[in-house]
Amino acid sequence: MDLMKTLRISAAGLTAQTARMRTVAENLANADSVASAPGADPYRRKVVTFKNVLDRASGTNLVRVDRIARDQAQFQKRFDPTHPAADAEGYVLAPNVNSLIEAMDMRQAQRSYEANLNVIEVAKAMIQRTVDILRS
Amino acid sequence: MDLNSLPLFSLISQRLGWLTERQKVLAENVANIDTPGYRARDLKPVDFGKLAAAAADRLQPAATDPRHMTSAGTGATARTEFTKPIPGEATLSGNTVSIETEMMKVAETAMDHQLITNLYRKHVGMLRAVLGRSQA
Repeated sequence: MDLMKTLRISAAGLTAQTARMRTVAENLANADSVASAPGADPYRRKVVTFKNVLDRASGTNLVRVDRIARDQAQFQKRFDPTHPAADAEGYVLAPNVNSLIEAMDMRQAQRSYEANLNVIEVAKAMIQRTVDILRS
Repeated sequence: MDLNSLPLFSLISQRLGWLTERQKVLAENVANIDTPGYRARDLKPVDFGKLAAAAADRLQPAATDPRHMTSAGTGATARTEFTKPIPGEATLSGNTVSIETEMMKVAETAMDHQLITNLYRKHVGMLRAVLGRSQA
C-alpha cells in the first residue's frame, strides 16, 4: 500500500532529525571540553549533513544521514594562565562550539521533526478512513 | 457485480490512487527538508472533471464472439506526472522545500481524500437502498 510508503519516508525523516539532535547534544555537552595539554586540540564541533537515497526495496526516496563531519572553524581562546593546558602566553584552546548556533540548530531539528510527525498523523488518518469504508 | 465497471467507482478509485501517490511525494519533500540541493516536487493536477465526462459517454461494444476485440479503457486515465521544479527561493544549500507550502498541500490532500471516501460511502449506501437493505 502506498500510504505505508508515506509512513516509511516520514519515519526516515524522523530518524535523520534524531541523529542531528544527538549531534547537537554532543556539541553542547562538550562545549567546555578544553585542550588537555599545551598544544593539544580541544573538542571540535560536529556537523550533520543529509542526503537523499533511493530505497530499492520500496522504490521510494528516503533521507539518510550523509556523514557527520567536523567543523573547520577556529578554536576559541580563553585567558587562564593557571590552567594546566595553558600555553606560554596563558591562553587555553576551547572548543569551537557556539551555544547560540547549537540552540538554533536544535530548534530547526525540532521543527523538521514535527513536520514529519504531522505527515505521519495525516497519512494515518487517511488509512483509517479508507479502512472505514469496509465498515459502512 | 464488479463495482469498478460503474464509471463513478472506477473514477473514485483512480482519484484515491492519485491522492495516495501525491501524499507520498509530499512526505518525501518534508523528509528532505534539510537535505542540501533537494528540489521540492509535486504531482501535476489531473482534471478529474474531464475524466468523468469521458467516462459518462463511453459506450462499450458487446463482445458476442470470442474473437471480438474489446476496447481496453478510454485512454484518459489519471496518470501521475511530476510538475517542473518550482523556481522558488532556495536556501544557501540549494534546498527549495518550504515547510508551510508542504503542510498546506498535505492538509489539502487529506481533505480531498476524506471527500472521496465519503462520496464512495454515500454511493454504496445508495446502491444498498436500491437493494432494499438498511443503510448503515
